[in-house]
Amino acid sequence: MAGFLIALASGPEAFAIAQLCVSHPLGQIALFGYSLALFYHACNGIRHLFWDAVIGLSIPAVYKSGQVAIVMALCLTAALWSVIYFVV
Amino acid sequence: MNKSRSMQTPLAAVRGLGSAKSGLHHWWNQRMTAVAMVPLVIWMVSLCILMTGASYQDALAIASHPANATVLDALAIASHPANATVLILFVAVGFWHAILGLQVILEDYVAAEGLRLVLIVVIRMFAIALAALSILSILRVAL
Repeated sequence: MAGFLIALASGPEAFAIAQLCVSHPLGQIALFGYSLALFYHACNGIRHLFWDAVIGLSIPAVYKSGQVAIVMALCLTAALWSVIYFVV
Repeated sequence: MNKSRSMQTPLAAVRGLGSAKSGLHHWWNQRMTAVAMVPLVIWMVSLCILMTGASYQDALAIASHPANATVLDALAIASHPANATVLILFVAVGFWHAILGLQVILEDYVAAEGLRLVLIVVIRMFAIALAALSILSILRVAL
């Protein structure tokens, strides 16, 4: 993301190179992986914030929220890439 | 150590021991940056969707000013003036959160004290440099 911003600030030529990188299949795979990691980290982070607030600390609740975090991360990633490929 | 004869206070005895170099500060900052990242990530992901397939002019316009907008949709135009601000906040809070998180990982898993310190400092410097470069880029586009 920093690279993209720097390219945007550097001018059209640099931006064109950045666009080539992110639109290349390898770039797309990297971005897909990054988005999955980001969403999983965010969902699990929110799970940790609930624990910090002393919510859902029983063992069944911990397992349940873990499953919810994984499912949410997968759904959000699927939603993001569906929007990118089919809507925009 | 013979406690009854020692003139050392309990505080002096424990100072420098244990992993905590400070109190709640680090932990609290980690939580607060996490909370801040939730809306910032939602905004940033939306911004990334808008940016996909955007031309140089479009991307410049999204990141800078409504006056430059060409073929952008309503959402992009409506959110324009705030986008650069959110980008800066995202970079600043994101890198801060990353520095804190990576520091915790290193403190937990790198046993050698010297290496641990070096890694923490190097990561911190690298992250601050990258954040500064990103923020400079955003300002250059936005102003």
